[in-house]
Amino acid sequence: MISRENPKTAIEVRGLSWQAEDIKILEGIGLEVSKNSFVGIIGPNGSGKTSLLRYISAWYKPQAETVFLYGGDILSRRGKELSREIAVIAQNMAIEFDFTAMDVVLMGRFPHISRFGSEGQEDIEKTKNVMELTGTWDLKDRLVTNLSGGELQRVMIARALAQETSILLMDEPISNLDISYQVEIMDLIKGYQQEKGLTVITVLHDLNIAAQYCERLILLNKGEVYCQGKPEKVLTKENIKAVYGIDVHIIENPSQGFPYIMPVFSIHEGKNNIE
Amino acid sequence: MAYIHKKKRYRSIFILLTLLMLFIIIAGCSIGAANLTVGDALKIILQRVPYIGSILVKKPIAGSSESIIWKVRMPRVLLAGIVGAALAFSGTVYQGLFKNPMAESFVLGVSAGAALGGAVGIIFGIPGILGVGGTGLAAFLGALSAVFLVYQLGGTGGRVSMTRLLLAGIAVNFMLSAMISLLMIFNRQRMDNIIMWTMGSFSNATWDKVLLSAIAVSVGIGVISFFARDLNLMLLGDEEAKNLGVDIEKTKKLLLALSSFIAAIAVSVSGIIGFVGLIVPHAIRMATDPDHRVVLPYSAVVGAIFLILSDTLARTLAGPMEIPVGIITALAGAPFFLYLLSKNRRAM
Repeated sequence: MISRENPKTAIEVRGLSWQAEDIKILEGIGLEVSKNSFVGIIGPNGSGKTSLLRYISAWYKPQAETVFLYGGDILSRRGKELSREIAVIAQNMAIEFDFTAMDVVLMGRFPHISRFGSEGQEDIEKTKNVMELTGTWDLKDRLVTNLSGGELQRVMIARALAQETSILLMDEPISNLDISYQVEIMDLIKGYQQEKGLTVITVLHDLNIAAQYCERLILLNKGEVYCQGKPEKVLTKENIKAVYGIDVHIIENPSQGFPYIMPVFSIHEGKNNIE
Repeated sequence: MAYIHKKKRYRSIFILLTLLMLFIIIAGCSIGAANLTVGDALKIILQRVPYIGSILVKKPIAGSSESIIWKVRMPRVLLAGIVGAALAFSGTVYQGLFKNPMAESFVLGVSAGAALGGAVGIIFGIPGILGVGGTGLAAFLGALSAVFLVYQLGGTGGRVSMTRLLLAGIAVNFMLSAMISLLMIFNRQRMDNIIMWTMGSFSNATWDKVLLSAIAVSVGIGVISFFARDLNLMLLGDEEAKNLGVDIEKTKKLLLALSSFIAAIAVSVSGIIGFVGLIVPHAIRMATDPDHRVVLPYSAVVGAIFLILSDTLARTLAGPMEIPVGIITALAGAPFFLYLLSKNRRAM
């Protein structure tokens, strides 16, 4: 086995390709995510963002030596061992069974409890901590089937944090939330990431949120990495035109200086840009 | 409240349910054509306890009462209890694995396979071994073969697709039922026996059957119980469960095999008793939690209670004639279940 010892790298992907029924979903993906960084995966619908994330979480089984976790092939990490390293917050999570919010967050402790054991005082304490941090402690006795989208999302984040992993993967964690929840949840995760030295890889639809929170962006187009790097390098007029096929204005966000993208609305420009 | 905060309460209720089950076993032994008191039944059972029996009961009861209780009613009551526990417990596991409230062990062909095996056993007079009759043995093999067939047809290479399994199970069920009908048409003189067998009965209970099924079912229940938390996670979906560290493919295969095994044991000693695997787990879920650490053990005990009561009714209601116990479980169980359903608006 090739060992790619690089003490700074948390996740590395090399030459990852995937075809489903003759349609290439991912093609020659290569990327490196440093420890303790906050990385966004962006790209149009169908560009392979979720698939890539599912390979990194090993839900899809990658080919040997294409996905590496801390230098070792991810395939060599099994079951609970892997889920002590990587937590995942899936897209549009819906739970149909009447568990309470606390039951669900406690499930995050699963990889730390042996088959013959059960949740101890330490697990309960840690669950309480992350629930307080995510503002879900008040919801602990509510049934998850009765929670609003924003409440449920915070419960799922609490569960991921209860897992105590060093890497957190998120698939569009804020796409169903209103603007205040969007900011609240991104702030929460960013704060936790900086405090605890977490590595975060998140799929995002909103380019401005991506520019605001991510240190690095990976722009996917048709299953390939079109461009990756700092947000100001990736989010250019040219790249967005090439990948999304729309014209945009890019201005500097007045508060922190991040790029801010505004679509050029053809209706106001008096001409039709649809190709 | 979360499960963790209700753990103590659930444990106390479980102990109460177990005591209730023991009482119903003893009471069930005392009810019948020759009426005995619960006290007599208790004495007869206690005096049989090895080593300390003679200390517990000063004046042992002998004669016909003793043999009615110990040789006839006791194995019958216990067998009903074991089968009830096995059916309800395996139903719980199936509903968890399939994330489908309609699932029970019978959807994968356990009942149809057992019925076909039983029919073949009755028609060809297969000899029995280990105290289990040839019919029971054939039913057991039929049940396991049917599940194996469904699994082979419904599985997709590596990953187990529950929807495909369910569909394959329905198709195999229909096919096997047609084969049973065909067998019966060509063996009309045996039709009665086959139909009575498929309706389920404990009238042929023996201590051998009790011991054999008790051991097999306890092993199955014991192993599955260690997967209660895995089953909870699997309710959230395969991807969630995998991301939290459940080895979903192995777990599914193991739990499907074990729960089918205990259901096959159950039908092979009793015939086909429907509905227990469906209503008992649901009634418990509605009354308590979806957490398998509650639903699994409660299902076993409540399933045992439910089937002992049903069988007691089956043998006494129209005595001396016996009503097949499957009729009682459906007639008594369905209205109760519908009542629960109408009262309870919670998601399943």
